[in-house]
Amino acid sequence: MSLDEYSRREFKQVGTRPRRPDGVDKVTGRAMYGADASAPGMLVGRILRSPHAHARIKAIDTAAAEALAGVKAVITAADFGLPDDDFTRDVQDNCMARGKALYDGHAVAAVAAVDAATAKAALKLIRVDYETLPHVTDVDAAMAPGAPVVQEGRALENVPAGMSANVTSHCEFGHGDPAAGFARADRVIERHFTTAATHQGYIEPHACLASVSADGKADLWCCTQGHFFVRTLCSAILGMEASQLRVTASEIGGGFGGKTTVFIEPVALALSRKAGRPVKIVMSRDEVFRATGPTVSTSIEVKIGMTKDGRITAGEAHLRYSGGAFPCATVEMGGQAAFAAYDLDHVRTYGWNALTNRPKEAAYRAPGAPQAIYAVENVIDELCLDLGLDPLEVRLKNAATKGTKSSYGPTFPAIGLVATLEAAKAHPHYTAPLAEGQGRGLSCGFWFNFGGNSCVSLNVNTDGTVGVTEGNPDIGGSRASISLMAAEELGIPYERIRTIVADTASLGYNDVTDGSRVTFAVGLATIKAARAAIRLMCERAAKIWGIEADAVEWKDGAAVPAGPNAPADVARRDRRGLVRDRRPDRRPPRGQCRRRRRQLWRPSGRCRGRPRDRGDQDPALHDLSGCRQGGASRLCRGPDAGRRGAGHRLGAERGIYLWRRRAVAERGLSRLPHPGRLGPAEDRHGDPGNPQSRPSLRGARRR
Amino acid sequence: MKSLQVSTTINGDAAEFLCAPDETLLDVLRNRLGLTGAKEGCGTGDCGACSVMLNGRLVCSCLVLGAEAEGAEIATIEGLAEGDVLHPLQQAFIDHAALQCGVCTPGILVAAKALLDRDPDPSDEALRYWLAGNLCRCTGYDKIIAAVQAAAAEMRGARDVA
Repeated sequence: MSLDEYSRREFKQVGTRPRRPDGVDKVTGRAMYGADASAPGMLVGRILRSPHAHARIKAIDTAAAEALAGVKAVITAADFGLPDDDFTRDVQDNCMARGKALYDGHAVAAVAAVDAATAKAALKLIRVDYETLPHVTDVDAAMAPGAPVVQEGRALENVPAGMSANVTSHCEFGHGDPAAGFARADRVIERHFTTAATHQGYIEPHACLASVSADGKADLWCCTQGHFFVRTLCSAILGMEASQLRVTASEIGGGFGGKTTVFIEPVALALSRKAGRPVKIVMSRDEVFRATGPTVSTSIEVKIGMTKDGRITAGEAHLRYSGGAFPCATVEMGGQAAFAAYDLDHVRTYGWNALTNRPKEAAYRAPGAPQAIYAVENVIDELCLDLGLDPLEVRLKNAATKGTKSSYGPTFPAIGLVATLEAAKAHPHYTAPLAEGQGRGLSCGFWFNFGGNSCVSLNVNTDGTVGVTEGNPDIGGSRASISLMAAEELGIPYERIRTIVADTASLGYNDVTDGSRVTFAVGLATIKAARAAIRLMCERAAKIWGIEADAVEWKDGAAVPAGPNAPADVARRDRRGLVRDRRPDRRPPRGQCRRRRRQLWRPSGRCRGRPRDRGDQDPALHDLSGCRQGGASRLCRGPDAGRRGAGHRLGAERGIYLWRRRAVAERGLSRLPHPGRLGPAEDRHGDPGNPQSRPSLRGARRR
Repeated sequence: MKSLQVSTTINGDAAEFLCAPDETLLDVLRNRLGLTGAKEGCGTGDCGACSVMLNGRLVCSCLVLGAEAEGAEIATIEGLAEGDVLHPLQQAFIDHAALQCGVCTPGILVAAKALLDRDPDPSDEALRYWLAGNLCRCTGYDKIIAAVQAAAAEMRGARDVA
């Protein structure tokens, strides 16, 4: 079944509000964040930062710092190579300035010492010979001719006349003829807006613990939104193979996009490599604000024309963004998002990026979009005020819908804007009387969604519980969402599933936790994994029962025979739908049972007639061996072992098993009741006190 | 700098440590005693993530020197639950989803308990003022207020029964 086929489905677990699985750890202080890890022999890493917004680094003298007792390593940009590609080189240069300090707080050197006091003292001994340069921090000033050039050689190839060499990119989106549209408008308003490079402001400062061994293997623990991407960046910067760097994501104390790249991680790795000991770096709040990525700063002009009845005739925006001291394509997002909520005949956005002497931009909640949308929505509101129109009605009148050619090119499929606006209009909050000092406003927004690469491993444990391994740091509760989706698919309770975030050595590649992709994309991967597990277990059950694979279906957490394979006279189920009847009078003699058992296992390719393997990789076998007191021998106890009845009986085992687990949960029993107490007393073979009657795979082998 | 020897009681247990004269209580707890439940969010007493109790008084442990804790009784997040039984505040935070990333949560729990110890029935306004020194970036404060009030109600009920 295709995952993107939508069909309305009654969910049993998705949509419920279970307790989050990370809750107890987080309320007890047990959860481990970036700064909470330590390692034997660990050194403290500290970073020296430029006090100048723009300065040429003429020389760095680290001799005195290196000579200080307790200092184990000092590094500068000279300790790193020169990556081939611009992207990696920019990330590296942002972590450690090469040639020039490009903003106040830019790292210029780092030390690793036995303790914080020694590291701090060592930083004071590092002599940096700076030649201060004129700086520019405002995007409009940076684009003006004659502005200080932040980085030479990075300008757009064809910078228009009247712009400086700080301009690194240009983009344009739209369709129609805005001039003609404005001519048809009853009112045209043009306004200028600026927004600051606000910081994401996560409460947890960046922190990491790096350990590089003498043979080049490395481990890195850090708070990040994407440890696989950290591996990509750090292995490229350190010149090592990705397989040799294992990155583990800690619990993350907020990111909001700001932890989608690296700042201190390559530095800690380089220090550890040089010192031969683990190195921990924890940023101070001051360092976070000076040297990690805020969002872009912007300067935006928006011009919109509207008819008297509220139809937008044309929209135009000029977006000038700065992502700090390094080239940045975020303006493209703003250019695409600005007018995307509206169905317009004439629309155009022009975007420019310019370098400034500011920290390198990092993602921040729909990077680049809120700034452009803020400007557009302000102008629409002002037009509504001017023309005496209801702001919600105007947005409804212009809302993009299915078939709208969007302002950035693609034609929209079914989207929910009109429905959302109608719902807002119908909501009591929209008409509730306002008290003094209260206001009410609304705004439309737009952001992309994407899937990206996701890898999930789902394992059925020997007791029928399930482990889900994903590779995306849980920044908003995704472990709960993923567990719920797995529970929904498998038909077992949420509490029986534990979802963990694995390190980079334990799972295939996963893209960063960003763009609202994780619940969506990792969820899809989880659903696929759960369905694959179900298919495998049903196939194996079919082999055990000697029936066709498609004659087995998965129901309420168990494989059961479907249709004609499930004779009504055997499938006696209790109120919970669980099978409880063993039909003792229909049991075959014991000898027959054993022969039949051998026949049962032999045909299975994986078992190859060797049950002594215990089948630890085989979910179907797990199901059986998990039912220790029930076990495999019951499989062949029925009259139709291997054909009809037996199929039902695996269901019985699963049913009994689930019943027992449920009994524990519901009755608060401290241990599983054994099946001898479950139903008909004839089940003597279920006596756990009698080793002969314990028909686990192990028991079957001994006999 | 010569280290100082300090004797304290932490979560009811005697604890001794050596620290530098300029070392904060937060650094001592985290780096010397392995009590990493208190977090450093700012280091300047603004965010409250490092909140602990010092002789019954709510403090930002990043603004207290380790040496000041001589003879003191310290209570941290690690001592809030009794064995495997969560404190009503902890349970209420889980039940009301009053946490997301969770890095501010230990400080907020310690601060909330400090308030409930002196005022078992605070108004929402009093509660919001009291927790104004604890910053949360993810969850929004409404759920936190609801959780503390739910825990307060439960604790009052438990007290009445007792």
